[in-house]
Amino acid sequence: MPLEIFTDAYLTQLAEDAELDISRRLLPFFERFSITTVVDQAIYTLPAGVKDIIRVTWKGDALCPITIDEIVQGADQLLEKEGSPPIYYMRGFDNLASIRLLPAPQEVLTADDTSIYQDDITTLLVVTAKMDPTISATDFVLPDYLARRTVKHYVLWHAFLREGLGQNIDASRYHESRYNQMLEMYRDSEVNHAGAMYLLGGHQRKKKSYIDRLPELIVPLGARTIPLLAESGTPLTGEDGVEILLEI
Amino acid sequence: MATLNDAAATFFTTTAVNDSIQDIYHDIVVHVRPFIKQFVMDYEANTVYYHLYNIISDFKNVDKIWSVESKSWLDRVGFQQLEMMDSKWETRAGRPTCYVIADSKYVGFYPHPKTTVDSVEIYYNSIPADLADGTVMDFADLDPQVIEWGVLADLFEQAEEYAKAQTYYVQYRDALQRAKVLSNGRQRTDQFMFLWPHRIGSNGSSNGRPY
Repeated sequence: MPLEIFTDAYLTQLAEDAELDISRRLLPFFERFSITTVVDQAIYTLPAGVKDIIRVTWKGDALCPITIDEIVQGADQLLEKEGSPPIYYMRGFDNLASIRLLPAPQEVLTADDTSIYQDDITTLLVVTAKMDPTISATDFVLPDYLARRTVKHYVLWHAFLREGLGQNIDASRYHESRYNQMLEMYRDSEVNHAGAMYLLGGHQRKKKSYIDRLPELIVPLGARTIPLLAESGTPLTGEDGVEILLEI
Repeated sequence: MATLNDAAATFFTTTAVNDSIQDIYHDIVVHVRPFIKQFVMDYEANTVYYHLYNIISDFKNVDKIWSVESKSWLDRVGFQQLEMMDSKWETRAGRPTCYVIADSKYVGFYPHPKTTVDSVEIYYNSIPADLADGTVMDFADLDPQVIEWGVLADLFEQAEEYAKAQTYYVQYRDALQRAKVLSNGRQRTDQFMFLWPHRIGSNGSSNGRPY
């Protein structure tokens, strides 16, 4: 009976790790999903694999990303507006795997992903995000032209590195080098042919380092006007009696 | 096969060599110059995002999009630009004027049509077809040895001759870079020879940029 140095399960796991790594460094995947809301519940857990959030919409209207610092600097007065639909969302309040809606929803929206890529989102809370791929999914996999030549090197790099019978440091170093070289070449190719727009969050044209691609907030400037409220909760008005609006 | 044998000893099967040639051919085309193709796509009613990777069999990435009805090119924008233009852009209906590349598979349109009457011509970079016996590789004159070095690197890697594989891979990568420069220069010369004859270099790759 032949000696099995690397099990199929181990190599399959490495192949899945490779897809994650390539996606993280090169081609993050676009995904949309809806979330069921609960009255007065502000924090919602995101599905596994969510990386950067591109946008969040409440009944089709974009929510603004906000940080805890911005809330402390004054936006907290806007958050207690009773009966208001969510205006902001915040990530990293509890952990990166959840978002907090501000103010908390006052109605129930039931998740329904059947037509999530169409315009039928006016009754939904929709999150658009960059996601990790899943090797077992039919749709959520790397394109063939990319995966066929890069996954192999990642798998062999790690398999030959593992302590045990199959360990081969020279081979591991070779495949690590090839893997990194190929990713760099494909990255240049993607930037040249497709532009960096979809690689890096949709708006930068220049190449960025891996560090720069960590989650970032995309603020829709001028996307919304919000009434300024007095401490009592009533809208502030000017001398002419017109409500004062804050454009964010 | 003949050049890879040594004193009639066969180290690699024909299948292995053919697979390597196929892989390297794909690699070269993707890196040097993916072939641009056109695909006419009818809009689907109420749809914002289209999964072009599923719709077009040899799709790699979008190059340009032409609106058939309005006879104009759509503008490529990013998500941030769309947010700045219209915070409800995903629900806004109308004849598309912009598109956003969401990832390697999805493209979104703004605004999006409510009916299926309109269509667009999608110009995209394609994945090359598989080679068959007798196929003439159109980039062969860019650097004749590029495919040979790529195949040798691949085969030595299979034989676990890593030092040799790396050597040939470096040669392949350099040749690929030269082929890319020549390919770009060739297209540029064609485009600007009439307008900028005094600025075109001998190989078309230098001083050829009119901007």
